[in-house]
Amino acid sequence: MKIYVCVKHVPDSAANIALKDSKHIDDNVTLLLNPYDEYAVTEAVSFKKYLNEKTSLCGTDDDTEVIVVSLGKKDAEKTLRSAMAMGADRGILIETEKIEDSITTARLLKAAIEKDGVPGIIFTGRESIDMAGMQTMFRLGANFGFPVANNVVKFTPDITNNSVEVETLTEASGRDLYQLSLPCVLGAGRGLNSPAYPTFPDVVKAKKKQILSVSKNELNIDKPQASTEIIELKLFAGKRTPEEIKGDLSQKITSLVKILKEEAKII
Amino acid sequence: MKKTGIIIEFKNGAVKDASYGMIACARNGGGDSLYAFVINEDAQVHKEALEAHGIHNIVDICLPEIGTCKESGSQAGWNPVIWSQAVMEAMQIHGISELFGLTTPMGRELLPRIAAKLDAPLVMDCIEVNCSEGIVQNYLYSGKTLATIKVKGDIRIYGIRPNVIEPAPAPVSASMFTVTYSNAHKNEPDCGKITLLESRPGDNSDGDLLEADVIISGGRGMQNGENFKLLHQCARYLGAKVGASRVAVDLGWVPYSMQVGQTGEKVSPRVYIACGLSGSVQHFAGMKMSGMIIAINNNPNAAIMANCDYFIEGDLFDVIPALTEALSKAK
Ligand SMILES: Cc1cc2nc3c(=O)[nH]c(=O)nc-3n(C[C@H](O)[C@H](O)[C@H](O)COP(=O)(O)OP(=O)(O)OC[C@H]3O[C@@H](n4cnc5c(N)ncnc54)[C@H](O)[C@@H]3O)c2cc1C
Ligand SMILES: Nc1ncnc2c1ncn2[C@@H]1O[C@H](COP(=O)(O)O)[C@@H](O)[C@H]1O
Repeated sequence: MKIYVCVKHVPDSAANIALKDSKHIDDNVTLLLNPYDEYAVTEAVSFKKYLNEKTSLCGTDDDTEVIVVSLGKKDAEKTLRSAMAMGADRGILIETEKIEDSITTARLLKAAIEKDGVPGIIFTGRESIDMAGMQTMFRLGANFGFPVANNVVKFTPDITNNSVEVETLTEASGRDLYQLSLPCVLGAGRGLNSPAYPTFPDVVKAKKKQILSVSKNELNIDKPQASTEIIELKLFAGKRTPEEIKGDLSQKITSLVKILKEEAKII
Repeated sequence: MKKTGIIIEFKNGAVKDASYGMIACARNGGGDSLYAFVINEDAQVHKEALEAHGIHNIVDICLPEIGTCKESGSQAGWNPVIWSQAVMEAMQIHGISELFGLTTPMGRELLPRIAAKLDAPLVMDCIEVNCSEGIVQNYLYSGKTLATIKVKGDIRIYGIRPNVIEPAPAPVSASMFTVTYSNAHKNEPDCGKITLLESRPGDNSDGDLLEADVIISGGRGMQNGENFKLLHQCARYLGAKVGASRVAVDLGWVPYSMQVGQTGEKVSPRVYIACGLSGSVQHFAGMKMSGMIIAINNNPNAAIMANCDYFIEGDLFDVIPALTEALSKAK
């Protein structure tokens, strides 16, 4: 089975962001694998292990592999290497200089996957931390005609029935339980598993794994009618000027209550 | 005439305040004709309330066939696959070209499913929408930038961040419609490929941070899960919900639904009180949009102390119980 995982190269969550111009950030920051995509890669790798164990019992020879796909600049190769150090077998880089919107992203991801093979299952993260589109997995599913579940926190394959059961996280730690037929698209949520940091040998091994580069134009997708486009970007520091509430404990509390009452008007 | 559909959310049998804020948002630069989509709720009961906020048409979406799921979630008969199809049907019947929903767990399921099926543009977590121009604002790069985004398409879909737009009553009178979602749709491409087996509701006493007016959060400084009781006690007098830093969640003190930050909830309460948490970049990503931030920390050099409105340097185990006591007396 071919297991595809979509991984995005995003600015480090701890990085300070600066602007290059009125629409783009200065990408001289550390970029790395989107945190939610780590869960996706980890789950894909353990699903592969599960499938291999199953097939070795039946004596069949299956060429199950985990293929990570990223759309981004050349630099996104680093994110593919990180994913391969976590156990993915090979990578596909769809090169583009632009920030693509979700509609185009999903079309390009589909085209690249289709060109490569027939997906048995596709994993994504539940959202990207830079654009937080919260939609790529659904668009990918619609483009392929596959069912989709997002924010998946538990994954139980049922291979004999060619389906999977998942739990998704809903409001206030609630859970929805779904059955999906394969192939399907699953957006990984936090808690699905605990990604392990790759060891040094894993990192070395990942350097030798294959990355296939395709250009956006090669994939030749239909140009969508609809789009979303960033027309302006401003830094949002949310900088405040702190004022200390001073005095002994009871003075501090008196002042705090006064602020809550008179300024914040919440009591 | 442009027609706008709005997916109304309910809580405990009443329209959520955040839904009213969303209606106010939908009226901005548009709103010729507003359609409230009321799914599996008695629309008649909410007619007056919706009219008071400027809704011209109420579409009662009934899903008799799915009935109620074994254990229903927040709203009866919750099933995102079917609900999204029913909303699309209502949009088609009424010729709706613009759809609003909240960026809540419900909206995160419905809006992208609909956008994907219609191949329509969608921006989630908008803090402002100009409908006539198709221009929205939201925070990108984990709250570090404010973006202006142009949305192009025959049908446009907007997810609104709860609690950032104030409700603005504007009374009108509304017509009622019913859309009954029927068996005919059992041929949808999704049919049979995805089935909701069960919906287990969460515990709302902990959750609901998204729409809270006041949040009091604890971090590593709380020392253990038991001590979060102190925050809950104080929260009762403040009408607040209790949040947490990732450290408190990772150490198993409190559930993940309480986490505020980049990989937790992104909240915009009027007041955010941070107790025993340092104010990491990732935590700020989830709460820097708060109205007023108050920090309680024993380390004057903690990052939170340099980027808040008020701070108390002190031991939270002194400050919080004293505050709770003062509030209890004030009542
Ligand atoms: C990809 C990624 C995503 C992340 N996402 C999130 C996220 O969504 N949310 C989040 O919160 N973090 C997130 N983090 C973690 C973040 O980097 C910090 O580690 C975390 O926020 C720190 O939690 P804390 O402030 O509780 O702990 P600490 O940084 O250890 O701070 C504890 C604070 O408590 C104070 N204190 C201790 N005792 C007392 C006392 N008795 N009275 C008063 N004050 C006291 C200390 O002075 C200190 O300032 C993420 C990290 C990564 C890498
Ligand atoms: N440029 C991209 N390359 C690869 N995967 C992506 C890309 N953009 C989004 N994804 C995937 O889609 C998920 C959701 O992204 P988003 O819809 O932006 O929140 C991410 O966690 C990734 O798995």
